[in-house]
Amino acid sequence: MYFLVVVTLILEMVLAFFTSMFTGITLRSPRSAWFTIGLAGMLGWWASQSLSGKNIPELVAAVAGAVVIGTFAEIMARVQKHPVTVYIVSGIIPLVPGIIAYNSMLSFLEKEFTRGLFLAFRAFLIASYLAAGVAVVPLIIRHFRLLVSRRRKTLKTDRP
Amino acid sequence: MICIQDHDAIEFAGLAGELLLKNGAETSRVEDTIERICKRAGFTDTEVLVFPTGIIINGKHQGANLTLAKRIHIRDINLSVVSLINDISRKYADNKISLEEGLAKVKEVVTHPPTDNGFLLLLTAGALASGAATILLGGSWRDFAPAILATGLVRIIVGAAAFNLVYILQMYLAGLFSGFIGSLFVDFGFGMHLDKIIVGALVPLVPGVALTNAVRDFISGDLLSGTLRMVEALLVAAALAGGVGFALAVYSGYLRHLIF
Repeated sequence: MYFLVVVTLILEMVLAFFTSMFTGITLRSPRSAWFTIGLAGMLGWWASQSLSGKNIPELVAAVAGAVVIGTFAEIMARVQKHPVTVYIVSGIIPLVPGIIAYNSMLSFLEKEFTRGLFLAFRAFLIASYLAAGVAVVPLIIRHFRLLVSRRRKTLKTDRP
Repeated sequence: MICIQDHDAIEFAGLAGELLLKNGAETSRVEDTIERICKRAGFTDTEVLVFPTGIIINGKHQGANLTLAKRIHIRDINLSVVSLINDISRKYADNKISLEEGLAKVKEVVTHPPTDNGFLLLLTAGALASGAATILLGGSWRDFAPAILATGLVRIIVGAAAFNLVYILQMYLAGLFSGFIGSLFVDFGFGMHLDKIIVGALVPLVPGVALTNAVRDFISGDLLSGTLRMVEALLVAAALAGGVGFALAVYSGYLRHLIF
């Protein structure tokens, strides 16, 4: 039974890898970043999937996946010398709440406007939490680098 | 006195910013790049104003002002260009290449964009991404082939018919065709889950660049750009959903009785 769970998780991670990588190719990402984009999507899916369904709110799972993708993207941007945008845009694609948005649209078609609005807002919240989680890590790192460089400058000028 | 070199420098900065903004970079990156180039070129008081639809640069050199305004009309996402321009501007700021070399390199990106990914590769990649996403969302393996075929057909139809159409209309058409094609496949017995096939087919068209850039702009304080990009992302999502909804309504209301 445990074996089956592990196999399913590995299969899903491989699928997330391919989803991210091929989406990255359609967005015309640089060729040297293709494999890393896939890895970003895979790690993000793993992080969010291992949290979801255990009495944890879906927003928390989404943010966890997004933070993992943001951290990985920041590391890989340093290693491969590409902008962070390349990794995060394609990395969050497996986590995008497509089915919720589709069900919201269906509810509007069936004239169940309350349910449609509820689902649309839920999809929008998850999507914006994903984007926020992905954006926060590079911004924090940039802020601390600015602080460190400013401190170094003041130290240098203080010296006689 | 303003010399030819200053004009070259501000043209370099303007072109680099325009290419970054057109191809999907966030606002703060565009502003940083332009400021970096202007600082290296010797401008003192550089003010840069970047919106999703335009750029205004004002630089001061030896007491004279130099201004450049750029209007951005068409936007097309090409992250290779973003990476390339970022590289060129950093090299110029680190004094590794001269102004003439940098300007020539940027102009070469305009005339010969990095096109190693041809239409066929984009088609295959989009189709495979949809196939993988369909199964990831919970579809069975029988949905794999319909999703791939639906995305391929959507890409060909949208790419051929809507070559010069407005972006939003193109997205609406994509939703429309994926709805029709998905419903047809399911009714002819090729696929099982209609919702997974349609959502999978639309996954590569999700406005991910607009959404992530919108939130990043909001967080870094560019409220105007963030609002505009958020509206763009919502519009694209609404166009996709509207196309699918229209297709499903028309199909289940009329076409199904005509065909079967």
